[in-house]
Amino acid sequence: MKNYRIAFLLIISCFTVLFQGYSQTDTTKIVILSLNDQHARIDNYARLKSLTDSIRNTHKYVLLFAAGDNFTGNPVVDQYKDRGYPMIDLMNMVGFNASAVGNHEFDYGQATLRKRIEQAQFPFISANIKDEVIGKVSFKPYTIIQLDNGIRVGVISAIQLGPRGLPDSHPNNLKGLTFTNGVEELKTYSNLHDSCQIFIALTHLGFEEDLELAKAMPSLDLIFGGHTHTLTKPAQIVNNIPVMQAGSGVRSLAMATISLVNNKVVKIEPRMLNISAHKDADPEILNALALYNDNNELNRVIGTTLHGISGSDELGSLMTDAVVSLDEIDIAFQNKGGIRIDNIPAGPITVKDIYKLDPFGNEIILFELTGREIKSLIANSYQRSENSIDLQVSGMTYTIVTDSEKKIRGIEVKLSSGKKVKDTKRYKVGMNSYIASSYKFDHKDSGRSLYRTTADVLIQYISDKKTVDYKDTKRTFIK
Amino acid sequence: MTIIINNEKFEIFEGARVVDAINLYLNSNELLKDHVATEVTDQYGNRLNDRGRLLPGSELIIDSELA
Repeated sequence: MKNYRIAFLLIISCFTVLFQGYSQTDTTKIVILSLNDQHARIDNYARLKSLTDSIRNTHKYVLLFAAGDNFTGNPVVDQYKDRGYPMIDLMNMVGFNASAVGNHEFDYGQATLRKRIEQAQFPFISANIKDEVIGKVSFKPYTIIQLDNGIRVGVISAIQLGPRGLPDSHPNNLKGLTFTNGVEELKTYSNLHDSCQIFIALTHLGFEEDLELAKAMPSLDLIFGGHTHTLTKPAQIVNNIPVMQAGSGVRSLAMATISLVNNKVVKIEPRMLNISAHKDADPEILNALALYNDNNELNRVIGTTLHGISGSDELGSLMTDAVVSLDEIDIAFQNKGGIRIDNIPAGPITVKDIYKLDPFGNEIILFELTGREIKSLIANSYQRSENSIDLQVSGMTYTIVTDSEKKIRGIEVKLSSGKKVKDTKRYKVGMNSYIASSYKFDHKDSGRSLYRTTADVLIQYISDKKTVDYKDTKRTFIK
Repeated sequence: MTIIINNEKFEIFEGARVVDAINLYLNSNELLKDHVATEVTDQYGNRLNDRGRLLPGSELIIDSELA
């Protein structure tokens, strides 16, 4: 009997050795999917779910990541009563495993972001965001996902910083947080590679910085990035590391199929998938989209106007008053071409009215301009519009004095206080990003975005004021 | 901040997006006045979507044609 037991144990041992030997040389494939800069463009989400499910049906191990900027860009999501809620709900339904923190994650304010993080069934990660104040949003620098085959996937993340050392968001949204250099911060996590078999950077640094990261961190296997809306073809290989970015707006999906032998990465095959071209749509997500798109938020009344607001003088005055309501700005300009409706009728004003009036998603740009530079902007606008008034204003009025041939002889500019604008004095001037980039005017200050859209600020302004009336308002003249 | 469009340096505001660079470029020259951008890529040939943020030193290739 004892001999039988020994023989049985030997046979079992042989099988174990054989099985281990087989498993160590077997190739394991892990598929990592990532998209970035979704900007709340949820309309392709039923296709995204169907596409990811089809990949999950053919591959056992599939992870799905978002490389930041999930929010901002679709009023259905941005103006939802609980701002951003539909986006996270849909991301939960599709089954995301982690998200980087993008600059637009802060757009709804930190309190709302905190709610969205709590709502998410996946972590938001970032290594270079530090919270100074307890109770504000905080992020883990990385996450490690352990698959049921024992493979551990380490994911680190960092956010882009602009020249002022802050992400591209309004500074009010970033209070209580400090930021460190993304690439430098991520380098301190290089040894995380020893704790996992696949080591990924899921960043919101922008493509150029991702290339720098690939040079600086050879221990990475793969970089999925965001921020610059770059559509890589399908990857840029730096230091043997594929760097991928999937455009924006849920149109493309970056896919990397990672082959491991003996728990070591031996091959990475990058592909770029076209979500928009995927024919099938997930019915459950289609139902959810129908509900979200049919919501009444766009019909939400934000204020009223007793007399209606008509024509570019009145509508432009309203739009620029909203910009001047921001603390940073004393004077604002609005171009006629950016006023897209003729009037807001008397009665309630809805969110939809504002998006009809101002549909372009322009951001507010702040310049410090001298009085002389302001006049240069007005002069350029007059000439651009074939010698007619183009720019509407707040915080000042102006009169273009012309000769008999409609050529400018001079420009008189008065502040709202009645004082004349001084040629050498500097004023804080706000204008939309179209004027800032398209109009030619003298300016020593190259300007900076406040990372808030003109429409968003206008909705806030009317909501705060409750009643707005601009009957017979006129602030710009030609004589 | 300074960016490079079609090998030429341009000054643009901090936080500009690709769409702003297109506007800047098409308004920089009378000959481009009635043009529209047909494709924007970075210096590596990757396509850029119009809401993508630019960083100081970003290099863009803008193709345009008469509207």
